[in-house]
Amino acid sequence: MLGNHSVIAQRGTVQARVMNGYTGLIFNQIGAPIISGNQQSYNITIHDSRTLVLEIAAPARTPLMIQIQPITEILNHTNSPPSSIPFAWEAAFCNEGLNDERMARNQAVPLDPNQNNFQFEMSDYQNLPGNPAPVENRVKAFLYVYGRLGPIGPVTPGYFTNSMNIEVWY
Amino acid sequence: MKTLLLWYTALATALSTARVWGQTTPTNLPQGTLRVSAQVRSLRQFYWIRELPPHDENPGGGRLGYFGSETPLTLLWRNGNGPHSKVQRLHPNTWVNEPTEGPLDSTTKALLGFTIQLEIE
Repeated sequence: MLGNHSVIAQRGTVQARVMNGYTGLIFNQIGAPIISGNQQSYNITIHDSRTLVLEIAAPARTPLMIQIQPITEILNHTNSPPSSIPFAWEAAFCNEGLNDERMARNQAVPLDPNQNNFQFEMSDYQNLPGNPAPVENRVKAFLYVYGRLGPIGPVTPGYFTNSMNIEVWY
Repeated sequence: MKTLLLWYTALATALSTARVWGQTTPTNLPQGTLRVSAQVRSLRQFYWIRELPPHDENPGGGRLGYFGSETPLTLLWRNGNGPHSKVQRLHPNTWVNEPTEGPLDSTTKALLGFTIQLEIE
């Protein structure tokens, strides 16, 4: 699972890691409980602290592929058949040669959620104020994953979950 | 800045593209699984006990009690279908005074038909 150990992949000259000790895309929010039957939707946007940030470091011009195996719902398995809540994933990435995650987030381009496979090429480093210099000639790209939950129908209360696979190829 | 963003409908297409780039086989970094989760709660219209003062000379001076459970609850005071007017923590088997501030005096409650909903924490 993406999360407790930040480095998820390192092979050859390409590295990929999840930032900030991520533990999952968790929609719970203090003070805003998700109530069965309220028909509301809950969004995690790219600028939300709960957004998954996947950092990829590779030499400039390296071609990369990202494959996302989407899910369309999260489930409560305590009853049969399981209750479900619609989930729509969203993602964006930045390969603008920005090694600073905050700068990259503002430049990230949304991905088409109707597609599952994405290809891009690592850009050259941008020599801008505030952009950290490359380490070992690797520039960074960032993938952001977030999404929308709901509307919340009259489902059985409880813990809803599902898993979504993300693969990086080079 | 040149950004190349293409998509492929099948992994086979991606594999053949990688060969064009000079690799015979693309390398797969270990895949990760992103867990998506949420805790869904229930909101019920719940029974409660409301005890008004004997002569109601002190509007809003009644008290509420919640009995029969060990689970703490939160009272959401509403004016009809309007937004929450007040949130009040309520522990089981303990009386609490009704809120007296704002529009939540007993006269207003009687006129507008306030209801109480209890949210299970």
